[in-house]
Amino acid sequence: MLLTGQDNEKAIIRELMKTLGSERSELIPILLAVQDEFGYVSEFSMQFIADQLKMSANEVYGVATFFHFINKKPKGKFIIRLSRDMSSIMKGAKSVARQLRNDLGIRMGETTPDGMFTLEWTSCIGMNYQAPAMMVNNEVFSNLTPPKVHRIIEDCRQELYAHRPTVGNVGETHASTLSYASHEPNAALNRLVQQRMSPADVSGELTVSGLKGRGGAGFPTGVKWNLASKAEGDVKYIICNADEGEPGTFKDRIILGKYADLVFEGMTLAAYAVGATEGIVYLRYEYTHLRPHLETILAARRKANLLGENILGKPGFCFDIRIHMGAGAYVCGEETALIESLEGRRGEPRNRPPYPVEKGFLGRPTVVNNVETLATASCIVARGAKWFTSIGTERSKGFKLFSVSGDCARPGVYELPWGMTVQQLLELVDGQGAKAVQVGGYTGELVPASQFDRVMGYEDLGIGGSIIVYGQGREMLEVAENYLEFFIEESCGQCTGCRIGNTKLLDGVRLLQKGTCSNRYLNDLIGLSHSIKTTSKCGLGQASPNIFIAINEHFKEEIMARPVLAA
Amino acid sequence: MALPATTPNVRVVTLTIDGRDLSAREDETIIEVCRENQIPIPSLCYLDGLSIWGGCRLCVVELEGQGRLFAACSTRVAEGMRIQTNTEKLQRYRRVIIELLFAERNHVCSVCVSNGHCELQWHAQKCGVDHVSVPYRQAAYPVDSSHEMFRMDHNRCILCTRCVRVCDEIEGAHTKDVMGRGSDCQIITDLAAPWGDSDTCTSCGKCVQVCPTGALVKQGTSAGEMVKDQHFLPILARRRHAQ
Repeated sequence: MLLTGQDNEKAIIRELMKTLGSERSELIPILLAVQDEFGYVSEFSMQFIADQLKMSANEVYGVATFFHFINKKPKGKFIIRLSRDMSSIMKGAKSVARQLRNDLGIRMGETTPDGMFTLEWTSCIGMNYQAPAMMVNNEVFSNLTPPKVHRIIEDCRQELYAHRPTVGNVGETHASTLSYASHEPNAALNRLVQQRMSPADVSGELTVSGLKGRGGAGFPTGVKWNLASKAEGDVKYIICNADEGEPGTFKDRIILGKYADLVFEGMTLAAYAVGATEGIVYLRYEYTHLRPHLETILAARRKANLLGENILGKPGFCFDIRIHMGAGAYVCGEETALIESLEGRRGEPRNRPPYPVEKGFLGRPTVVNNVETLATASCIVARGAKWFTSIGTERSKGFKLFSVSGDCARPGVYELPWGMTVQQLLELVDGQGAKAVQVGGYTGELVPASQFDRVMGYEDLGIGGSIIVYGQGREMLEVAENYLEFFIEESCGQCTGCRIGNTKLLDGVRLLQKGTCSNRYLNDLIGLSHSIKTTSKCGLGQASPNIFIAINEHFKEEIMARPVLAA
Repeated sequence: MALPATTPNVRVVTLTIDGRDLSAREDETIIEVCRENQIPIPSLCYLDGLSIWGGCRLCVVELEGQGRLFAACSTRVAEGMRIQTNTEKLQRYRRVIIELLFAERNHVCSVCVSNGHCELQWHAQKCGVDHVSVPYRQAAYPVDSSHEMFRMDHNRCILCTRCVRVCDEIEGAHTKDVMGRGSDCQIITDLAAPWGDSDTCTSCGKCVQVCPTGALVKQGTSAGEMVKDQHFLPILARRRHAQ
């Protein structure tokens, strides 16, 4: 019988679904697998997948168009994605981009006529300390210079690139993750079994330790586990949020590369405390290169009875972990959006309450914790809450991992106790004399030099661990432009303010750059910023105008004193 | 969604809205209680009978003792809640949201088929929007006239997704959905195909009736002629739920 191309496509998709499953929650893995097979997801494939999953075809289309890394059209054999975060721009991403454009003869977002290369900008890929960086398909190349990318392109043309070792897979940084490195393997789980800790003991230990969520929101971890253990549900889930999308953050990549065992141990502890049987690591697409490494560790843990049935001989303690790939959406770092995307929907944040600890993944109680939170939880349960509370300050207990990048001599991941001032941190990373420091990533706070005595801790700058240092020569309007472009790109489009308001703020920044923004209009825009902040549903929208407010507050003279450029 | 009060053992709570003492069922949302008690709250994406979306953010209210604002459509009432629905701050925020909606696409009331019957226009008047302080985006959007009875004009769409929800939840056809992300979001018919080519559309016209603006209209209507009727919706929604 003669098979048409479409019959062939159907057969392949059916085959893929046999291994991946045919539940709706597998939609994104299926789309990614189809894309691996064909290079893109055709409308025919979408229709067929929808029929198989008993969904509407346009729902599949909506999901496919929501995620950055799902191609609706054929792209080049080599997809080059150059990171556009501020650390990359500062270290010369634009000249790298020029080199790429010249070498390939195409603009950003285009594909070469021979179908070999596609060139795109992408949001932060977690390589800020080795900026500029880019991905060629799933491989990461860092510390780029124009001559270096020229060589990479030549290699690709000769298809040698497959033999190139991955650059920057695990953290060759100044990382001094002391507590993680000195953690005895599975000490927490062993203590749990030997001392016969009850589930309440585990979450109690964390509550006493004062550990708060390290993803940025800072919700007390012990309380979260406790709430989930009390929530009613036949099945409960532990989700590790490894969708580290905040520009300037790369600590989770380092942790997963070097200390993945701690993360899985933390998930197992959480499962015990909550009574969950299934764990999911939601790994961002940009970290696909970490997946084989993580799968190896999971297999080893299963073999050592650290996962699976009756863990460490404890009857009834059953838990296993699987990895679920994201597909490129910053907003999926928000826990309810993450759950939506796990369920095979567009990654749009949900209305809360109900919170995930009551009704999360598939309507079941779900704990969503950041990579670092879980790894730190392992350390705490192993060494006791007292050890943890002896570090840090009165209101911010323990230590935190900081990802430092930008204008400093020693970028990298640092494990530091809470309570340091910005100035102290700058001295540590050799970034003295900075003009400003972005604390907590793009959603965090821009701290000008006059406020470098501010303390990093929940009492003051208590936010995620991304630190971007801006030297004296940096223009704050360029910074604001970059941030707002990022937020416009990554907004899910649900809330009016975030969807439209940020485009207006970006227009405003461009007017300021031209020197043609009136004081009155600037005030209107500041009012608009506050409206976006207060009316948006999720953390992304609420934090997106921070930069606009900050440059007005701290750098008003700089931004208003621009000469008027001719139109 | 407003559901029939068949659930037994639903507790009644007392709360204060704009200084008025009220009682409500525990499973109601703030906007439902307000509607029952004739307290006006502007809303665009919320519609009685459809699931809750919470995207337009026009119905935000203040809760005493809470720093942030809450969407009245997606927040359930609780015992002792003290709610403010119309403070100066809220009025200001609502004006900004409406201005942004006008500026996003090409809303020109005087030539619109829904002029005089448009919810966006009506809320703008009620909230005192007398000008739009941010410039219009001026992006050109397509008009889909391929369907023999209806027309979709993306220039007047505010992405409230009422059409998507009514088509899925009430009609059960799921012809419409949203594609893209952020400011690239757009309502699609099937796989972003012309509406007239759709084989899932039943031509029931519910999407047209629930659309708050002139984005979804009947063919052949001219400026100001498109009057919509949404009374069918709560009745159908309750019947559907009772099944």
